[in-house]
Amino acid sequence: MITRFLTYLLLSFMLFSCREAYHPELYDAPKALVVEGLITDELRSHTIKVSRALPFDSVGLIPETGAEVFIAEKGGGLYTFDEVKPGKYVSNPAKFRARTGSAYTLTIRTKDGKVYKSSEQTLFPRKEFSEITNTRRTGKYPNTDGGEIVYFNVPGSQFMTSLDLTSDTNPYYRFSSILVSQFVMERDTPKISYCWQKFNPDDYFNINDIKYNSSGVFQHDLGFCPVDCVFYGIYTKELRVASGATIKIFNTLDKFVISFKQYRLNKETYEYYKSLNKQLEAKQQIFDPIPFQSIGNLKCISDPDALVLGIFEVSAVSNRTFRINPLPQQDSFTLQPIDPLDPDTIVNSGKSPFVKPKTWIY
Amino acid sequence: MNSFCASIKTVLLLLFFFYCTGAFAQKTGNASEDGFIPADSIVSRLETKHHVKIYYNPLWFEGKVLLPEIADMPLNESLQVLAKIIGGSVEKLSESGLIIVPVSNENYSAADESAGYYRIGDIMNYGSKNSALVKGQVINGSTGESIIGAKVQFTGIKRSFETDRNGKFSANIPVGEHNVKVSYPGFEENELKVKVFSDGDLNIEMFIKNIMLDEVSVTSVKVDQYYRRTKMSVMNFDVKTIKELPSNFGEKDVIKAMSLLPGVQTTGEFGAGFNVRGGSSDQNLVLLEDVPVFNTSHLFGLTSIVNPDGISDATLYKGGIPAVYGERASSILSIQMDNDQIKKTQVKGGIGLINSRLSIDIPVKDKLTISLGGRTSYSDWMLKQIPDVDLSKSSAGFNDYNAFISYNISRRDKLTLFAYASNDNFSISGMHNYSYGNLLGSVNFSHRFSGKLYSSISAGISSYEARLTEKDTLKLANAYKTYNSLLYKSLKWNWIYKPNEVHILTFGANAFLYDILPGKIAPSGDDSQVHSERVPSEHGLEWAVFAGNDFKMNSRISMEIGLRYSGFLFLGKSVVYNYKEGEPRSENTIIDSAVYKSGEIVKQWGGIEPRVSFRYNINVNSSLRLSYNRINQYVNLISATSVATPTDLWKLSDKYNRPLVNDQVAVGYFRDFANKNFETSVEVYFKNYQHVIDYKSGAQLFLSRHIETELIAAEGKSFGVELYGKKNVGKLTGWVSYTLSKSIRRTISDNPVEQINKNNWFPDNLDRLHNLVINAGYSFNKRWKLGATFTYNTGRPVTLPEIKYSIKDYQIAYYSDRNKYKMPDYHRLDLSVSRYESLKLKKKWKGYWTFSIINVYGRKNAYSIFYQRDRSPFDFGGRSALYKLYIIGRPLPTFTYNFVF
Repeated sequence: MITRFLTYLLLSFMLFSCREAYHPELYDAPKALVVEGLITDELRSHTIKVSRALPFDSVGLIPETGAEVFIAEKGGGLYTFDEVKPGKYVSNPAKFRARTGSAYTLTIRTKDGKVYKSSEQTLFPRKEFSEITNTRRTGKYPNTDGGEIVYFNVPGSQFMTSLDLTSDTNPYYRFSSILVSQFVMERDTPKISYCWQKFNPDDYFNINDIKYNSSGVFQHDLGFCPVDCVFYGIYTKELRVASGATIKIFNTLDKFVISFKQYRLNKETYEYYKSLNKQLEAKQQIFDPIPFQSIGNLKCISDPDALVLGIFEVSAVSNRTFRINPLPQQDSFTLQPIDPLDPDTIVNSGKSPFVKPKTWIY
Repeated sequence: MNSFCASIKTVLLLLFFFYCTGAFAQKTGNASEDGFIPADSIVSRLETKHHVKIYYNPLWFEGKVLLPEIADMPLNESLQVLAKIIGGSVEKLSESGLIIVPVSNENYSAADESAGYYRIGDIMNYGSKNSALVKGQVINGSTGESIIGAKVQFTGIKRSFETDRNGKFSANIPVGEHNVKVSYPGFEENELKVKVFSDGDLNIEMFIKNIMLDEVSVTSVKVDQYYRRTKMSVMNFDVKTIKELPSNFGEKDVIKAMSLLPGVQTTGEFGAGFNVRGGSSDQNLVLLEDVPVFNTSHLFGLTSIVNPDGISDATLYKGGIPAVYGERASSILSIQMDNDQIKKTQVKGGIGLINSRLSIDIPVKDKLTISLGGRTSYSDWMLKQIPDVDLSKSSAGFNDYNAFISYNISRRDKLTLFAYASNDNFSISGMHNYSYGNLLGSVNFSHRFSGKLYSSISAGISSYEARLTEKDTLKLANAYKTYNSLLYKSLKWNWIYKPNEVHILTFGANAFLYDILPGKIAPSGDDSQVHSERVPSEHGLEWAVFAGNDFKMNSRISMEIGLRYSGFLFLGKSVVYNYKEGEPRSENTIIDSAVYKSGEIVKQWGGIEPRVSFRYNINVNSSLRLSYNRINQYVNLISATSVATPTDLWKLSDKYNRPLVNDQVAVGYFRDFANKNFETSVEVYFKNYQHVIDYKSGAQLFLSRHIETELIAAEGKSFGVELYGKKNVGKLTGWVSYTLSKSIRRTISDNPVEQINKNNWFPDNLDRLHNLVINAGYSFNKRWKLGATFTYNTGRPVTLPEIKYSIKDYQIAYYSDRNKYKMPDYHRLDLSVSRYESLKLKKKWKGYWTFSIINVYGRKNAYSIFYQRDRSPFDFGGRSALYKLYIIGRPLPTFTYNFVF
C-alpha cells in the first residue's frame, strides 16, 4: 500500500512534464519562393517544383505558376522546363538528359520579374548499389490509445547495404526506401478493389554520416520496415455501416515490394540535407539544438533581399527493387529482385475498384 | 554550573573573536613567536596605557598567554577577558584602582547569595537613575555570527526586545535585578540573571543544540569574512539564513535559493546552473571548499548538488569581485562546509519523496572533526515498479557523498581535507541515456605567522565526466555512446596582512591546470556501424597573481583596490590548423597545420584585471557604493542548445578563440530602516563582454576536430537595475527583489557566414526584462512556520518558425531571426508549512516536517517552445505544430522529514 502510494506520488512528480499546443502571434514573417528541383542521370523527365512558402500557422499549397524555368549546362545548351501542373515544371526526356561530369545551373524567372538562380551543380558518376541484406526482427511503433501513446512491437526487417568509401573523393550519399504493400479488398457484396499503401521508414533524410564514417567500407542502415499484414491493416475486418448493419471486409495480401534508391550528391547538396536533418532529427526534447535558418543553393539575383528556400539537386541514382518473400519460422525474408520501381510515380495510398491500377506491381 | 559554562563560552568566544578578527592589531610589545604574550604582560600594558593600577595575583595567570591586541581594546573589555580566564571579575576600587578577584562578582543579590548574576553598568552609579539603557548583542556562540530576530525578555517588563540585523538590541529597563530570557527557534534558550546598576552592555551567546566551544580552536580566517562587510553586490547565506531559506522539494537548496535574489535567474525548473546579471551559467565560479564544481545540478537542475546539511556558509559575488577571485566572468559562489568544532557526535538527515540524506559530524579529541554526508534518490527503484514498458526502462536518479575533515594542529595551524563525489543518470525509455558526475577533493593548510599575518595554501582537484548513449531500436546501426570529460587541478597560496586597523592587504598566487577531453564516440551494441573516434584532448595552464588593499580612509569612506594579473597558456599536444586570411574558417579554407608537442606552448593569453570598490557612508543607515571589475575567462562552456546540458563541452581559449573579457560597473545605494530591521538597496549595473563565443547556424560542436570553424566571435552587453528590500525581524520576515534588465549581443564579422541576424544587436538567450521575487516567511509560533515564494519573469527569448515549406514530402520550418520572439511570461507561487517537533532543550532527537506545494495555482509555465512534426510513416507530408513544453503544470505536493540528533 505504501509502495503504491509512493509510486503514485513519484509518478505525479515524474510525469508532470507535458506539452500543449502553442499559438504565438507571428509578425513580419518573410515571404519566400520555394524550389524543389531534382535532375538525375536517369533517362526520364525531371521535375522542378516551384511554390511559395506558407505562413507557419496556415495550411495548403501556393504553387508558383507562370514561371520560366530552365537549366543551363555548363558549356552546353539551355533546356526549358514546361509547366504541366500548377507549380510543377518538367523536362522533356527527348531533349534533356543530364550527363555525368557536367555542371548545371537552374534559373527561374517568376511572374513578378524576379530572377532566381542556383549555384553550379556538378553531376558525379553513379555508384551502383552494393548488396542489400535484411535481418528479421521486431521494431517498436507508437500508437495513440485514448490519448496516451502506447508502443507495440511489429515484426519486420532491418535493411542494410554496404557502402565503400575507400578512395571515394565525393563520399556524399542520400538513400531512400519505400515499401509498397499491395492487397486485394473484397466485401460481402461482390466488390473487389486493388489497394496499395506506401511506407517510408525514414523520419529524416537518410544520408551517410561522413563525420564518423569517412573512409573504408561501412554498413549503412537503409531503415527498418514492418513486414506484417496486421500493421498495414491487411486482415479481415468488420465494418459497421450507417444503417447499423455490419459488413465484412476481406483484405488479402498480394505482395510486399520494397524499393531502394541511392543518390550520389555533391557536397553542397549533402550539406543542405544535413542542415535540414538537424531540424528533422530534433527529438523535441529540452536539449534540442537552437533552431536556425537553412538556406539552399539558390539566390535571387535581381533582388538580394528576396528570400528563396529549397534545393536544386543534381545527383546520380542507383535503384534496386525487391519483392519480399517471408520465410515462416526463419530469421529473415528473401528478397527477390524485380524490375526497378519508381515509387515517386505511385501515390501514397489508394484503391482501384475492379481493375488493377496502372502502377500495380506484377 | 550554567553560569560557569556561560563564562567559559564568553571567554572562548572573545578569544575566538579576537583570534579571528583581531589578530592583526598593532604589535606594541614583546610577543612570542606565535604572536601571543603572557597575560600579565597585558596587565602591564593596560596599566601603562590607561594610567591605572590593577591588583591581581600573578599566579592566576601563570602559563596563560593572550593575543597582544587585547591590550588595545577598551579597558573594561580587556579586563573582562583577563577576569574570565580565572572565572573571576573586576572590581573598581577607586578612580585609578581596579582589582581582579578570582570569584565572579555574581554574588550581589541580596536575596540569594548563591545565585550568580551578571552585573551591568557601574556600581558607583547605582541609584543615580531609576532606569538604565542596556545595549547588547546576541550571537551564535558557535560561529560568532549575530542572531537576527532573537527575543530578549526582562522580567517585570511586559515588552520584549528583538535583535536587529546585527543581532543587537537596546532596552531601557529599571535598575535592579532581572531575569533575562533569550530565545530563538532552533537554539538553546538562554536564561541568566542580571543586576543592572547603570547604563551598560550585555552580550549573550546562544548555541544550536549542544554545540559548545571549550578552547580556542579556530586559526583560519576566511577571506570572505573581510569582504562581505564592505562590498556591494554580495549575497551571503550563513547557517541561520540557510535554515530559513524556502524549501526546494523539501530541502534547503542554497544554489536554487540564490536565484531568488536580485540579478540571479535560472532558466526555469530545469536546466543546469544559474545566471547572474545576464551571464551564462559557465561564467559562474562555484567553489565548494575552494574547488570549482563544473556541473552544479542534480536531475538536470531540479535540485543542486550540495547537501544542505554540510554547508556553513555560502557567499555570492555578483559584482565588485575582489582580486583574490578570478577565473569566471560573472560571479563567484563560494560554499564552505561546516567548520565548527563540536563536542558530541551529531547526526542530521532528511527523508523526502525524491531523495533522502544523512550526515554525521564526529568530534575526535577536541581537535579533529570528521563530517560525512550523503544523499541518494530512489526514483529508479520506483520507476521499476511501474507496469509501463517505457517508464520501467526509464531512470532518473542521483547520489552524492561528501567528507570533510578539520584538524586544528595547533593554535596557529589548521588542516582541512575535503572530498566530494556525485553521480547522475537520466534515461528515457532506455533510448537516450545521460549520465554525469563530479569528483572533487581539496586539502587546505592555514598558518598564522603572527597577529598580523596569515597564510593559507590549498590544492584542489575537480573532475567532471558526462556520458550519453543513443540507441534507437529502429536504427541500431546508428547507436552510439559518447564521452567527454574535464580535469582541473589548482594550487592557491593566499596571504592576508593587516598592518593596522586601517588596511587589510591580501595577496597571493594561483595556478590552475586543465585537461579536457572534448569528446569521443564509440559504437553501442553489436549492430552499430558507428566507428570509434576521439577528438584530441586540450591542455591549458591558467595562472594569476593578485594583490588587494581594503582600507578605511575615514569613518565615512572605505575603499578596496585590487589588481589581478591572469595569464593562460594553451599547451600541446595539439594540431593547429591555419586558414586562409580574410575568409571564414572552414574545412575548405585550411592552408596547412602545425603540430605541437606535449607541453609545448601553442598560444598565450593574459591581461590585467583591475578591481575597485568604493563605499561612502552617508550616515549610520545609508551608504553609497561603487564598484568596477574586469575578469578574463579562459574556459567556456560551448553549447548549441538554448539550455545548458550535462553533455555540453568545455573549451579552452586557444589560437582562434580569445578569452572572454567582462568589464562590470555597478553603483548602489543602501539604506536601513527601523533600527536596521529593514534593509533596502538599489543597484545599477552595466556589463560589457568582449569575445563572447557564439555559433554558426547549425554548428556541429561535438567531435569537431576543427571546432574553430563552427564558432564565431560576438560581443555583448548587460545592464539593469536591481531593487531589494528585506525585513529581518518579527513574525513576518522575507524579501522582495525586482530586477529590470537587458542582455544583448551581436556578431562582429564582415562575412555573412559568420553573422547572426546580420550583425544586428539581438536579445541574448538569458534576456529577461522583468524579474520579481517575493519571498516571505511567517512564524505562527515556535512550532509552525509558513513560507511563500512568488516569482515572476518576463519570458525568455525564443526563435520561432515563421513560415513552412515542403521538400521531398518533409515539412520544413523556416525560423525567424535569432531570439526575435519571447516565450510567455513565467510566474509561480510555492507554499510550504514546517512543523517543528520537540523544542525541548534536552531532547536529543529534534525534527521537523516540511510540507510544500510547488506551483500552487498550477500554471503551465513554458520551459521551451518547440516545433514538432507529428508524422506517421504513412503520412508522407506530416503535420506540424508549435508546442509549449512545461515542466510542472499542476500543483505539486512534496514533503520531507528533517531530523538532527
